[in-house]
Amino acid sequence: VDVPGRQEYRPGSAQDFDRLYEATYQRLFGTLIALLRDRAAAEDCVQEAYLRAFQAWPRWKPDAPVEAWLHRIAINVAVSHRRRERLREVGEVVRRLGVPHDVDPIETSTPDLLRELRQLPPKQAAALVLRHVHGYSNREIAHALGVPERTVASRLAAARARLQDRLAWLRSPGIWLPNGVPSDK
Amino acid sequence: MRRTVADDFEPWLERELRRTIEPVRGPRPHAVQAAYRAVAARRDPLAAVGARAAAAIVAVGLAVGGGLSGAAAVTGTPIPASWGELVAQAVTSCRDQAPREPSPATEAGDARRCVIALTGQWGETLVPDRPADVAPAHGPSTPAAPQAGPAPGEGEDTPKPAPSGGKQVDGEAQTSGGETGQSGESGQAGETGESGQAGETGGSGQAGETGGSGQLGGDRTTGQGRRPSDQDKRTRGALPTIAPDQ
Repeated sequence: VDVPGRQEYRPGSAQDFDRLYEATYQRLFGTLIALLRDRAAAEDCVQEAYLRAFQAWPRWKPDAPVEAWLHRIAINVAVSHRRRERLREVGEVVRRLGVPHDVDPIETSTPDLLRELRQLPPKQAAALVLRHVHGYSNREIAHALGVPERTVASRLAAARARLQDRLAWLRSPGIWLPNGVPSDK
Repeated sequence: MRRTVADDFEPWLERELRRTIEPVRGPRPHAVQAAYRAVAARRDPLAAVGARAAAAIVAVGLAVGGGLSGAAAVTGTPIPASWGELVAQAVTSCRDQAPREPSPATEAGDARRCVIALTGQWGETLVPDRPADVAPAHGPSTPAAPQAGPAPGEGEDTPKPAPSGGKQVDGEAQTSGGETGQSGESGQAGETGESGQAGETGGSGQAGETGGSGQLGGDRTTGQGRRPSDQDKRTRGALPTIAPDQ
């Protein structure tokens, strides 16, 4: 991924971090919006990620892709956020036992693809966004996810198959079938 | 060649992901409004306050330590409890050397005169807020009498060096080389301008102008001692010299 001025970032430089923030904010936000439930959570997590990155900025090694490094921090923040969110949801379910569940306006207004993406494990969803939205290479995805490069392809394949399964029943039957089974059309 | 749905799915997924996610834009990023900036800004004042507090503690420590070491150097003992005893002994011997007819007024005047002489010898300053009824009994106004003005650049509230071998000429303390070392840290501070600056910017300088603990007879603008009047010289000549090690 070609981040403008990437070669000019100096670890520990506050001015450079400001430039990095303004150059990469929207892409980080786009990734986290695919992992988290709503915009507010994505904005909070992006700010938290930049805060952590700023604290670690003096230790950043320039040979590492800087945006992938930021993504790694942001994905970890998002995973932690989702874990806390799940715990809250469990608490809500227990508290509301027997009470009809309110319809979540955010869920109903979200496009199917985004909603199903959020149901994936966060690192699988992140891998799909990094590849198909941001155009990351396997190396950069590996750096962002903190996994070996050789496992990226298998992660991406697993994520695609899972999403395809989840979307299949939303579409007209017969258009897509899971795991590469030919369709009727 | 047969096409699978997987072949169709990947381009569709990429197209749909871009169509769904790319339009979703966060707030326009301004670094000045970022959370990390706010946290960094909160830390900096704390660090600055910490540095100021440390500097203040060091300054207070130096002032106290300088005053104590100066007093110890003048009296020749590091024990503060014995400083008062030394002063009492010196004043008693001074009064014994200048016998007068005993009366409460003259006794008070003698004591005061001895203390002034003592402080002139030991380099201490004295608050010149003496009562008006004492002055006529012993001649001229004493605040400027026995004091030597501070050397140029010395602080106005800086204790004078211990002039055990020094002599006073025309209001300026003359000390031999080795004795200036005994003048203590406060004398050095005066030379480096710290005490002098404090006097000029208010502090003890203002106190001196209003009759406080500032220099007695020293010129505030030049730091030179005021040339004593004839009456001053007479007064000083009438007083016995008290060595600080007495």
